[in-house]
Amino acid sequence: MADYREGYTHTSGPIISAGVVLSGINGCERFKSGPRFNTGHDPETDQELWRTSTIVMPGDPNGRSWAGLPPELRGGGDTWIPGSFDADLGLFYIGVSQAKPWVAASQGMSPRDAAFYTNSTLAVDPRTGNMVWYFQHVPGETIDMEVGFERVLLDIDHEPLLFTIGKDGILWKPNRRTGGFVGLAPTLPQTMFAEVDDRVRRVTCRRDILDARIGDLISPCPGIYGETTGRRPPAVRRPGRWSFRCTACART
Amino acid sequence: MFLAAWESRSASELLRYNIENMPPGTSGTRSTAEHIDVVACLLWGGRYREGTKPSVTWVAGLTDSEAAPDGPAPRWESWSEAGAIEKSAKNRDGPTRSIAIYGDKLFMATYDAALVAVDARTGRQL
Repeated sequence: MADYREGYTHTSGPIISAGVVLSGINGCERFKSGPRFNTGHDPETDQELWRTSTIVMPGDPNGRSWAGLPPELRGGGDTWIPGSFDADLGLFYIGVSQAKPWVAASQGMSPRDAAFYTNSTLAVDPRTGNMVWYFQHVPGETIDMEVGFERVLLDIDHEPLLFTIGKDGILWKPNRRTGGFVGLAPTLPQTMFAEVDDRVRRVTCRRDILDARIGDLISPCPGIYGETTGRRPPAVRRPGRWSFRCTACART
Repeated sequence: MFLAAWESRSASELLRYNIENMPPGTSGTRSTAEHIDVVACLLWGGRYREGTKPSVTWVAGLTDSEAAPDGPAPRWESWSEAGAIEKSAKNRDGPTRSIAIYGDKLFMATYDAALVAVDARTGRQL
C-alpha cells in the first residue's frame, strides 16, 4: 500500500464491507512525500479501487487550515484503528488521528489552525472512496489527545448515532447519517479544555495551551497516554450499555 | 460452560490471560505456542462438536501468536522468519488489530505497510 522505508506501517488491518476491502494506514510520525490515506480494494483481484487522503491538500477549500504548510510537512492523520460500516446507510466510518508533530507550534502552526481532517470522523462511500461527510472533534489538537479510536454505531430512539471517545475522555455523539453534532460529554476530569460546551458544540483549549510557543511549559491533564486507550477497544457487553476502559483511573 | 462464563471477551484476551496467569503460581514457564494450544482447546472444546474442528482458527491481536495452530496455516513468526515482512519495517514484531474474512480469503495487514490476502484454509498467499 505504501513504502515502509518512509516509515509507513499497517497495524490496523482491514474490514470488508459492500464487497470492498477497506483499510487505513499508519506510521505517520515521520513526514511523508505523499498524503496519508484510506483505501478500497477489490477482494477478488487485489486491484486498488480508490485511495482517499485523510489530509487536505492545497487547493481544497479546507486546505488553508494547515497554515500554508506544504503537503510534505502536513504530518499525522493516521487511521490506525479499523473502521465501522453501516449496511443500511452504506457508509464506512473511520477515525483520523491527530496532526504530527504533536505540538502545533513545532510545525509553525497554532491550535487555532484546524488541520483538516485530523482528529475527525470520516464517513466514506466504500465503493468510491468519496467522503460523504466529516466531523472534526478537536480542531488543531496540539498535545496528543487524539480522537482516532473505534467508531461505535448505535441507534437510540431510532436515531442513527456514532459514538467515539478520545484520549481526552470526551465522548462524542454525531448523527451518522449526516455528521451533524448531537452531543458530547466529558467522562473524566481534565484540565486541557477551558470550555466543554454541549450547547455550542465544541471544546476550547485553555488560553495558555492555545498561545504556547516553543519553550513554553504547559501542564495539562490527562498526560500523553490519555484517559482512554486503543489497547482495549470498547464493547457492548449487554444491551444498552457500552463500556470502555479509562486508563487514567484504571476503571471501566 | 466455560464459553458462557467468558462471554463476548475476545480470544486474544483469553490468550493474554493464560500467558500472564497460567499455570497458577508458575506463569512464564510455558511457551506462547503451548498457551495457544490451551486456548484453542478451550474454544474448540466448548464450541465445536468432535469432528467439526475448523480448518483455521485465528487468535488475533498478539505479537507472535496470530495464526492458526492447526496444519500448514502460517504463524506471524513464520511469516517474519520467512522474510515475508521486511526486516527494517517499523513495528515489525508488533500487533495488528483486525483480520477480515471474505469467502475463502483472509485479509490482514503487515508492518511493511502491506495488505495481504491468503487462502484461509491453507495459509497460501494469494
